[in-house]
Amino acid sequence: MSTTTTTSSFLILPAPLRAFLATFPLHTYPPISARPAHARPTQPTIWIHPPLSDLLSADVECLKWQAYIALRGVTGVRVRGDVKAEGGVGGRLPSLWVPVPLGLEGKEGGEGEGELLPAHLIPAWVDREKRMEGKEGGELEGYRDAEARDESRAWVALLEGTVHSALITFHPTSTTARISSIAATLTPPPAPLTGLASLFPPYGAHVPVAELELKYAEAVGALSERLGGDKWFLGSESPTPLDALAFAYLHTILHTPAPAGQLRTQVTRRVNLVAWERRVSGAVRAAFVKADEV
Amino acid sequence: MSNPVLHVWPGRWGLISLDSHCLAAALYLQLTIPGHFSVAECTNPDVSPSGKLPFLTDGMHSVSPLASIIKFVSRRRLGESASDSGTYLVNNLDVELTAHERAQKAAWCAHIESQIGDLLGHAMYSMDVNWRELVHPTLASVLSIPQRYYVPGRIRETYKPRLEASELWDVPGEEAEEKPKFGEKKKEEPKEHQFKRVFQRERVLDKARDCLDIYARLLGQKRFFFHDRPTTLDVVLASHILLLVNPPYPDPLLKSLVTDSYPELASHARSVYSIAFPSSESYPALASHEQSSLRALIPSFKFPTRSSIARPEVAVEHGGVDILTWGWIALAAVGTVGFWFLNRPSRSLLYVGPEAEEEESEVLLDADEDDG
Repeated sequence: MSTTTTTSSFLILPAPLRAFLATFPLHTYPPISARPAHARPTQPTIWIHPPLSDLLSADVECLKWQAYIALRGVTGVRVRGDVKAEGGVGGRLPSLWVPVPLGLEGKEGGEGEGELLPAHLIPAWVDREKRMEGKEGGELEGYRDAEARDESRAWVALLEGTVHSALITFHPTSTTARISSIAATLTPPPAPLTGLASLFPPYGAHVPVAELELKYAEAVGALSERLGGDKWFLGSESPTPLDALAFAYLHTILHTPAPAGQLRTQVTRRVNLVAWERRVSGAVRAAFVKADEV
Repeated sequence: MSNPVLHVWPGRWGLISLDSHCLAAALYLQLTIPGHFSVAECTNPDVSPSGKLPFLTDGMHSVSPLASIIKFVSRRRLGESASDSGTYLVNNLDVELTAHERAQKAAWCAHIESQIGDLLGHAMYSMDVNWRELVHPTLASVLSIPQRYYVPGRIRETYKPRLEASELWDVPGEEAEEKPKFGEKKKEEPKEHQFKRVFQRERVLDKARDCLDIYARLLGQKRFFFHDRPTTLDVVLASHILLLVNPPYPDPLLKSLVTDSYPELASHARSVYSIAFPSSESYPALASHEQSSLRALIPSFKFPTRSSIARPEVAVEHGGVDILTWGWIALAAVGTVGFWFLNRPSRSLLYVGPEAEEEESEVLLDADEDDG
């Protein structure tokens, strides 16, 4: 301590420099006070990437979970679109704030504490809500039979593979494209733009656009054919996770502004898909209310 | 009218190609237009329009990858009889499927490519011992110098983002630990690593079982998925399963799972292959593929899409050499050349003939005398 004092006494700043440094800090922001406990939401609140217009997220992943919650029959969920992805669990959105903790991972659930859930725990929370109402999903997850449940895996792969690749390739400025990587979506993975055999270091991704267009058109045609005139996909009597996923992609494709609009045209040519999306869209919107943005 | 040529990775392990999509393309063509195409073994994917093998050349046309090849072949008329609609229909393996079945086929093919494709990628490129002792040496053996030293590693790197997203990357194999050097005490593996390794392998097996169970149930006791002849779905599944069961993997984690727990899928794959190629004599004619390993060193710089250029995150993933760096290098090169051009030395090379030399020497002598 004494050394410091002695040293400082020897170091005297020149007056002009002292005057210059005295101007800092230029601006002091007021302290950010933590939100009081009573300000915590009492209703479940889903944090999503900002919506395009109203309550439904512009990001496919967020919209998928919104549709899942709504189609499972949970209502009154508040929506926040002002939280950055870094604020979500694991740096990702969506995340779901629930007033009563789930009690997983050794945590004891208690009234008033609340918990922020990552997306993969949303089904567990919905199951708890439905259990309270005396409604539970069985092993078949709402599908007609085991065969339909198996087939649903194939349709999920088609949507999350082919349709997702087309979405992020042809709508590169969309929210989904900004947080997705084509190299992690395409199978087999794309070659580098500079080629594999050249002496140049690998750079970029050589996306086979013609093939993507071809497969996308086939995928949308297949979806339309499989839906036919049914109320839900695969002939289910009630909505299933596949319906939530299909809605998320169809809604995003139909409502994302794009200059070329190749993707939208393929969907709008199928009347049953457009009518189905419009019907489900109303049901999903009805389950959410806008939270007061902080 | 010349026959189309299918360019594929060379064959190994008793198969016509060592790549699943090349294998599927060869099976599809052999089942639809046998004797009307030839195969060229190719080791430079950069000559393909998509940057990947397989690709098909037919006169001035060149199509790639698999889906485009299937579409091209399905719509191509054989022989000179362009009006022969019967021949037109034969080229399509799925011609007998109903619209409903065709829709299901599209979904199942997407599922195979993503899920079983990931499992195959895991067995070939992610499991260290399989990569080190089988896949890398095999790829190196088919490539020429100098590509054999860096192309296998680049191919493996292209699979990394996809397998990381599927949580199938960096799973250590049973024999992954290195042998201790002479006189060096073998390091004991920490217990937490052992647990992690065992759990990771179990997780991969669970994932594989979930996926293969579906196909075992879908196939049931039938010989093929639809009707009594192979369709695109059979071909795509067989091409993936064959590459899981045929190669002699040093760590046969998934190979053992398929052969022991799902023998019906293995026999289905072999059945599809034997229908297409009953014997080695039935292989399609081999076409020569002219390729120069030195020409391949220069990139062709295909810029096929606006999206691939406009996606900065892809560029970041590949070693941090971005477009600005290349721009800077180009600017530096242009600047250097420009500087040299503007400030080049004023000397110039002149051919001086013998007569002129004599004249010049006389002039020089006169000048010396004047000086003196």
